[in-house]
Amino acid sequence: MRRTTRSNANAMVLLAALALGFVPAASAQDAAAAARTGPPTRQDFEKLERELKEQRRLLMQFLQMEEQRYQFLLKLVQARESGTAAPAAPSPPPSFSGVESPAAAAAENNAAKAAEVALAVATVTGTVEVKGGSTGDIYVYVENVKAPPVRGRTFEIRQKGKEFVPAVAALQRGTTVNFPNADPIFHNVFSPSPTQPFDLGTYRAGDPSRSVRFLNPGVVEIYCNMHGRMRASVLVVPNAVFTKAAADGTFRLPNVPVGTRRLVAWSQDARPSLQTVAVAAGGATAKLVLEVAPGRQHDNKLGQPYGSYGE
Amino acid sequence: MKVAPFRLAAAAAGAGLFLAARGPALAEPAPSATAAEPAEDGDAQALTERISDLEEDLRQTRRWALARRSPVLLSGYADVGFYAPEGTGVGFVQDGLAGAPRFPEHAGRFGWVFLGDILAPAINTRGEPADLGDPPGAARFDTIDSNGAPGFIVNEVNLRVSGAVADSALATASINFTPRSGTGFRFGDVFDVDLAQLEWMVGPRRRLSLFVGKMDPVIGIEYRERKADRRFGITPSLIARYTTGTPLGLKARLKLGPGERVVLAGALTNGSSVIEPFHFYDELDSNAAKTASGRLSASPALPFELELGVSSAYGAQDRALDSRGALWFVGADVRARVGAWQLKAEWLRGRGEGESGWRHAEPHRPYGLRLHDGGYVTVEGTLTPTLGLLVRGELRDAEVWLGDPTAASGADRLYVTRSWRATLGVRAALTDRLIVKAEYLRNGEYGRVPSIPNDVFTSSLVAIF
Repeated sequence: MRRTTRSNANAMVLLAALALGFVPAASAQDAAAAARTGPPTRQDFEKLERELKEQRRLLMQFLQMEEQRYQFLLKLVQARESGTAAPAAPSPPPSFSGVESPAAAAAENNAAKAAEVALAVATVTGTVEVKGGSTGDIYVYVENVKAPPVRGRTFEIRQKGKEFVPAVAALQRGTTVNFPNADPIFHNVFSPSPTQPFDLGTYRAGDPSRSVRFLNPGVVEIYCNMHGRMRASVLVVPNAVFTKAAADGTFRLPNVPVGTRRLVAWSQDARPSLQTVAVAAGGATAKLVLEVAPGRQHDNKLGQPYGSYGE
Repeated sequence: MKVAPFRLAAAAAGAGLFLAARGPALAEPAPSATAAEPAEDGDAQALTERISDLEEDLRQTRRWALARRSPVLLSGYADVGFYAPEGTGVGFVQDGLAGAPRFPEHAGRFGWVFLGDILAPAINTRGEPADLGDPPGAARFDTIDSNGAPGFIVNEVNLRVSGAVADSALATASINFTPRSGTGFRFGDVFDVDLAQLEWMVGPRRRLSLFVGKMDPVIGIEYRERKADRRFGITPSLIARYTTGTPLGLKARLKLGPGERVVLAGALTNGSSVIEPFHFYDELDSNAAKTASGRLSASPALPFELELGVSSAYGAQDRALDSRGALWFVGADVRARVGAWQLKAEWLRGRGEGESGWRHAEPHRPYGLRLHDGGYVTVEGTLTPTLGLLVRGELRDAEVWLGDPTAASGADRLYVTRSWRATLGVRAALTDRLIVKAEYLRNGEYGRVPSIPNDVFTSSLVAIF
């Protein structure tokens, strides 16, 4: 009975937290509506859109947390029943001020070790063959292994000499990418990719760097709105199970959970290649084929061509 | 042991909060294989579906936001300034009231001989001189007409409209508004369309662009910064009058090779690439022959940015009523960027035969040109992210005339230019949309051309929208 009461209380706390997330926005809207005498303006709509977006983000984070904790408890119960080692504990709730826990990154190692205990993992080896030309770096990752977004992990893509450096990167979901401008001229970093569209606005060397946290798995193409030749591609992978293939196309992918796995090979100017692999306790091998497919010239952030004179 | 769904969910929430209270030292959950661990509980399934719905909603919102982009882009700038010319602000003098004492070889062949450069005392990016003077036999629209007085000015308000009319086709128009003094109860404000083009980018890589309309020229490199929002400094070079006009016709621009390091451009236009207020400009042709122009440039792969180019133009004499006379230009250019500093240099030579006894009538009287040499070297860069510096040295050695000097009655007028110019400029890019610039132009003469007091201090505030 006491346990039930505590559970109910915790559930109430969670609901209250969710409700609190909506209260400020609602209050702000009411106040704005009370103060306004004329018809709603475009700014009002944009403000509402921003608030709605933020609320959605908070709600998604809460729902993801709920799911993670539910699964954790389920494993805990199952572990007690079967007498195996307990799974790793779930992460603490995110701070709504946007400040990440400094110890979270260090805790990931513990999580990875715990994962090996909780789940049977194996190593997948293989090769990626490139057809129709040559490509840059090739990354191989497992698509159907779910993991929460990482926290506190950062990466840097600089704008230098009218180029993004590095121009290609593979990052785990949740990584924050800083985009410092080392050029004396202005750049405007943006992405039209449906995976994670963003627009960082214009800034130059000396201005504070701007950043984006990549939360959605997929490929994010990044450009400069002022210089059409600037391009970077970020592959956001859903979990920590990814690697960069060697120059000869061979790869070794450890810690792949046993089971039927979807293995993906990706490179910047090639069509991604997917292969379903049955990963046994002893490991598995795979052979993927990438076909080079030079992409179309991209448009600026307004969806217009840069024109022939775009730098 | 079976666990009731509600209790399990509540316990999960409780455990989560408990663990959260213990601080960040705890590890994140391990990756879980969705295929290996399907949802075993109705609540979990509902949560998963909710998350899935929210994610789809978010995707739809993103698609909607991306689709909201305006098909037409309006941009432009307002350029206001303050200038202070030396002397009367006029860039030329008459070679004696009669007889051309400094250039006696022209005496008797021309009614008037003028020395200097009409456009040298430029006060803005449009290249307008501080004063056009009052030369005999010429009625001109003296847009500034400063008489040497310093003053404030709205140099130009530019409005640019661009829109993608197809997947790879871009329509662009650029209109300038220039408020100036009116005369005789008439407004002096004018506007001009300096760009009205359709660009079609062919193929998925868009390496070939085809243009039609009134468009940027292909001669040299200075046209790229002919507008105040693009130019590092303020004033155009002494040869910009020949290379930064916007002719009307067709153009093709092709990028070749790896990294698009070779660019080939060619155009067929009504007239040459001179600027509209200058003697030679002919927007709508008065003769059948057209002007062909082209430029080839290469940017070798080096540790620094380097672009080398050659260009030329050849066509019928602008403003002539027939196509017998020719007007041509040939030039070379180089552009290099090392770090925050850029060097730009250009050289140009040209010839125009003028009337030369062929058919002509007002207002279609072609000017003759002998541009022996014209060129500039500019070094510009940023000392800090905000503050920039520009140094430019240049010269122009030319003769421009109206009429036929071989005719028995002689020609109307001749302008002899042996000019050099040194420019020192500073700029402060306060933001990406607000730039303040200042320049001092030291205009000098050499050869038998006397020294003319026509230096200029000018400044400009460019607000980009």
